[in-house]
Amino acid sequence: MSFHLITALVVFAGVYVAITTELVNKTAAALLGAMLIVVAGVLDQNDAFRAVDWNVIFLLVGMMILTGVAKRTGLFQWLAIKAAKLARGEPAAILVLLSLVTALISAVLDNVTTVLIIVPIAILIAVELGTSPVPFVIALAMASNIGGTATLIGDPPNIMIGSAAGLGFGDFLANTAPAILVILAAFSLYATLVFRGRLKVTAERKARIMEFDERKAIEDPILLRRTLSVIALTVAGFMLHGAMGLEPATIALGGAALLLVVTRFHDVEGVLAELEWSTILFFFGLFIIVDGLVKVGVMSAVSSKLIGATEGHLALTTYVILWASGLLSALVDNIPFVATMIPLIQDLGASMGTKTVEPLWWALSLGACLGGNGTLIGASANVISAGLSAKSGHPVSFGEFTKYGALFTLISLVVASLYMAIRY
Amino acid sequence: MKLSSLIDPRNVLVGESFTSLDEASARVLKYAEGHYRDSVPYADALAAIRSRAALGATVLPGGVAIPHARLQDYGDLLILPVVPKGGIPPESGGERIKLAWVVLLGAGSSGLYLKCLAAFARIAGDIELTGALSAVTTGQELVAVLERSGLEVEKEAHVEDVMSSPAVTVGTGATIKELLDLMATKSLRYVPVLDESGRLVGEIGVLDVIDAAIPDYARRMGSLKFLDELEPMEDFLRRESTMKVASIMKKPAGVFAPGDSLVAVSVAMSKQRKRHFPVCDGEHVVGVVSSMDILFKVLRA
Repeated sequence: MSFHLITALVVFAGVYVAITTELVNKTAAALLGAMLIVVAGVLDQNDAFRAVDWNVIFLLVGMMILTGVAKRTGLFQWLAIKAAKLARGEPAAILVLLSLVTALISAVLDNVTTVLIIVPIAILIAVELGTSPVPFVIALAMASNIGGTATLIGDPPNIMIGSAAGLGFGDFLANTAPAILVILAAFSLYATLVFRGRLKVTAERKARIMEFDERKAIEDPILLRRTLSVIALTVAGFMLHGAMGLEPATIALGGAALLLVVTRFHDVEGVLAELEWSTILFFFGLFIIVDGLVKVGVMSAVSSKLIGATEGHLALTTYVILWASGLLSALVDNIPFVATMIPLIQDLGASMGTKTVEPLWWALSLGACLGGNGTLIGASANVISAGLSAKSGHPVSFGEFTKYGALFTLISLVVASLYMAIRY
Repeated sequence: MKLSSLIDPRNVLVGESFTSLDEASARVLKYAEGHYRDSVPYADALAAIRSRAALGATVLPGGVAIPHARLQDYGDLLILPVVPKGGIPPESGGERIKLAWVVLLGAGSSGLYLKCLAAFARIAGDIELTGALSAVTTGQELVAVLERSGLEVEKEAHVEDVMSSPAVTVGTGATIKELLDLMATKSLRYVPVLDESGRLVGEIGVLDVIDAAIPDYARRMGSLKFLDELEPMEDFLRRESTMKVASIMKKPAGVFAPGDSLVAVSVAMSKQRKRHFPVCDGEHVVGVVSSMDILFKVLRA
């Protein structure tokens, strides 16, 4: 085994361990790993920087800016309160409606930010109702993961897959979104059934919810109107980006910059400071490390093994990827997992034909995103939601989340398998 | 809390005819049982209503009836409005009943129930409102009419109930000397600053005055325990009659309206570590709300 091969494997394993055990901050680990790859000569700096998928990075930056401005409009509070009042304070109905709102928002904006905004409101509503916030916290985290799977921009794995495979916004809408709609419907039923027992409240408590005045949640209607217009324009841009010959990052950054200018936003520094630089730098490091693995030939070795095992059978490979992604994503952070799988599938595409392997991308997307619901640590949105709940005095244990999450993940993977079987 | 918030439109029985109040009560209880499945104890509730009715009139002048059932093990307060078609002939003569508020309550809901009773009485005394309510055709309509009427069972305090009003203010052209004299004689720690047309353009507190007296280099030096006098600070005081408030005031870092929630004010005070906020009705300052107002009028009211 060559020195380069050993270095690449050791760095990769080291970073994975760091992420899973949280012994070292994952961004720090990824950056160090990336630089070790360069220092060891596996890649030179030019190759390393070229390995970074800037389309992904700046699509993330653009969407983070849009979200940062959007959350200051009070729009999310308005939506949550409106949903709660529509349900007339009935907790089971609120749970389902808020989950649908969360799923919808996560399809456009990043999951973590979505839950960071919606979960505190949900906890408030639950506490005012005199019921435990835990079902809401769990359900909303899961809903954000499900919703994020529906579009190119909804979840980082999709952004990465789209960028690497040349799949656009419209492609995701046509392929993953239909499956997600069915899964969301299944989720609404599931949530109502499993959480039913815990959600009974008095008329007086429901009245407290009816007393919320959602109109007061919007402090700057002009900002809101302009923000909604620019977001609509950006989504339209995403739908047409292929036709316009533009990449998603251009649309996202363009939309973000337009929003800041059009609203003459007064706190640009504030919004920029809130960007998740840690996530962005983590991606940067990760891309380099994975490319290191590709460079030393690990990926092609694994993909040929995979083809050997499944004998080039597309359907079998698809299900293997769907379920393997689903189960592994429940335990491992889905972003490094997808980053590792991408070159693998690209390699398979080289041997089996790029158009032929398209279902494999959908399998990866559905598996990696839906698998995130499997356990508490399966997705950042889960960990963040549980953290928010704990800070409010209602901790969500690993066991409690996994109890509800694992079962539904299995259900959603089965639905996805059926979908893949029928569709492809 | 508005009365309309306590009523579920699904529980309103509209457009049926009854020959007696008892029949109406029984019907609406059965109706509610259908919606709440296991939590409306139909038989016990009806028995309780009947025994209460036997004790005396539950009809208010104005044609509004208030049959109610107090149950030992019931943990909720359920209001079941009935809008009968053509009115119900009352037990012992008198006007026809146009509106009935059948209420189910438990041992713990007395306080809120009494306030609801007061609201029902107000409805009975308001001919127009009673008329509007008895003319509705759906439960949603009833709740909407009640909501529009703004009828409240509990009044929460808002900023206007605790603020200091009228506000003591200064103009941008006032001198620091005038400001400090004002603060000293009226024991003020904070003063909103207005321009010539009376609009809020700034705010200034004692700390802001002190801030202005400290030069930048002194601020960067850590502890200044080693000296007893500092020239720029003395100079500041010497210039108090010529320096204008406009030169040292801060931009308002948060403004509230008189009808705003005290919860919002408390959270803003906590997040911004700020003890005073100006209260504006449109562009004009009508008061100042401070953390002491919260202490004396909310925490220790």
